[in-house]
Amino acid sequence: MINRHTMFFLRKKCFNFFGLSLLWIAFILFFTVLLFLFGFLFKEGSGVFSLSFLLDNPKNAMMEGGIYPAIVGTILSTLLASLLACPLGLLIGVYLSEYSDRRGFLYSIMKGIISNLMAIPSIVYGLFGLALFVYFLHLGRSLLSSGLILGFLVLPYIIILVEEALQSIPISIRECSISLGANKIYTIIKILIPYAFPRILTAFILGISRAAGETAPILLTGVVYSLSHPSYAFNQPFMSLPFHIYVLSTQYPNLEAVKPIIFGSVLVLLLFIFFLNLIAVVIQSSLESRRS
Amino acid sequence: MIKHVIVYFYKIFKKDRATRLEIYDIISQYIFNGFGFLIIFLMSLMVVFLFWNSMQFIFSPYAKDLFLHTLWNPTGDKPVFGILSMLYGTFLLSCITLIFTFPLGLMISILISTYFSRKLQDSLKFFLEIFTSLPSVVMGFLGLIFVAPYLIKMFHFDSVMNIFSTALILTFFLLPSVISMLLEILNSVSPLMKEAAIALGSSKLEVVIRIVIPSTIRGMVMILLFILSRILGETMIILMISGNSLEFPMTLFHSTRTITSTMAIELGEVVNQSLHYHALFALGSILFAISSVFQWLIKHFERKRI
Repeated sequence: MINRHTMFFLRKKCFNFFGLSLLWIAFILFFTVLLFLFGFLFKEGSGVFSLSFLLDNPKNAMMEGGIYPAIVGTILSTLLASLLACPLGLLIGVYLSEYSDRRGFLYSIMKGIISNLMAIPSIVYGLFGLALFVYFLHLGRSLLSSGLILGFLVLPYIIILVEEALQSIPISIRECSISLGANKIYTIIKILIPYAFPRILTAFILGISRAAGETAPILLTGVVYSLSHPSYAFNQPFMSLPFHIYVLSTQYPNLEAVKPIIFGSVLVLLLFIFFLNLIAVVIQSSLESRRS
Repeated sequence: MIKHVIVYFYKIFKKDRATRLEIYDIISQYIFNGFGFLIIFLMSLMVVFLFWNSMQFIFSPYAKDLFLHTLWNPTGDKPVFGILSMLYGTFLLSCITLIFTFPLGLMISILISTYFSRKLQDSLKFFLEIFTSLPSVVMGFLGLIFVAPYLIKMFHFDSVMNIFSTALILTFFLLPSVISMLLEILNSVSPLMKEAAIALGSSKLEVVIRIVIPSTIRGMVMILLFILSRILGETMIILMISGNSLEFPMTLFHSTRTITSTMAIELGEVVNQSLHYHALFALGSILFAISSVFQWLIKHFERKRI
């Protein structure tokens, strides 16, 4: 005989069972599709991947040959971006963490501005770069403008991460240093930055890996469709891996013919970005194991 | 006179290490303060350049069409600059992506945060962190070769490039970051409340639905806003998959064009300092303003979370 209690427990059991199975279905669906997509990408890409693919210039209107100019362009623009963003991000992060009044009005305004800069769509950064670097400063559509605008794009991320890294240092270390007679700048240079160095390095690497994958800003400020030779000049247009993927996969009428080259480029880009991320994660986890 | 002062200070500087260090300290303080103000300068530079370049369009007679017209025809004999169809396309896209992304992300993160061990959670989080840094152009390419051909086989669409397939790909692009943010929010609930509810006889799932989600409702709203702002700013995926047609999207299975992809397409060949150029800057300013409002709302919800 079914009384109220049995009904209650039955309902509860049903609710739990169906709820849990729904959750598992969603989980399995998502991870299977993700793994399938990227497994396929790596399988197809590794078929094309070879040394000559990496080091050759494109031939026959980019239908054949390698992607060397695109790799050079990506590395150079990322390097330029990090040259701008890393020192500036470190200095501003130190200012926010050590010099500013953290309860003051100015600090809250600066934090608001930084989070706002992080939220601005990357294409708007491209627009800003077009107006400022390309036309106002007359740098033209070039590697320099693209590198600088990528630097501005990743600057807020680096600032936030550097500030977090410095804030994670216990206050006792600062007090100890000051009680021994060191002044503020000495404490920062000799104590705080070496102490937080792994996390600061992680911040730089994450910023760089973000700069490497962005397409929209460089689309407006200097990337070009194809080059027969790698260009190392800062005032010349350049080729870049993300833009190469975009052009090949949308502007060619016959997608099947260029598919191998796209798969190869995607694999190179992904390996570059995943490798940087992996370094960051390894630094982070080794740091945690050392502390604990 | 000035020479004497300089020589005097130089002598102190050479002789006295403590004074030297103090002078370094004062100088470095000014330098760091200067760099702090650089961030305000950068933001104002951005605002000035965007709005100054769009000024000529905003004060032209064409500006009144902006929110009244569905037609975007900047290069015709009688140029018309209306962004209503773009806004409507963005709105449809946001709705569909939100309907896919939010429940799916919530379900997966509930499963991970409630039923998985701490160690497994950490490794899954590490896995998802790697996918959050995925370039959007790669995701767009995947959508182009997988989703579009399969969809055309399954549903017999007229065109492969439509809002629905864009929303599917955007869902997969956004899910890793949404899940890792949701995990943080769900794990921030104090274990005391959960333990009390379990002691009173609720199951794990009931604890999540009755206790954890109601107590983190502000965080959930924050996630919704985050997804919306990401869709608004996303360029490459929409540019590659949505088809970029300028027609008013009647149904979900029509192609559309958003503000971001319009800028990406047309800024390549626009004549410098023409009306079209200034109109595109006006679009950029609108995007800037909307994303600032979203960011302000996200901050608002973040701050009040306890």
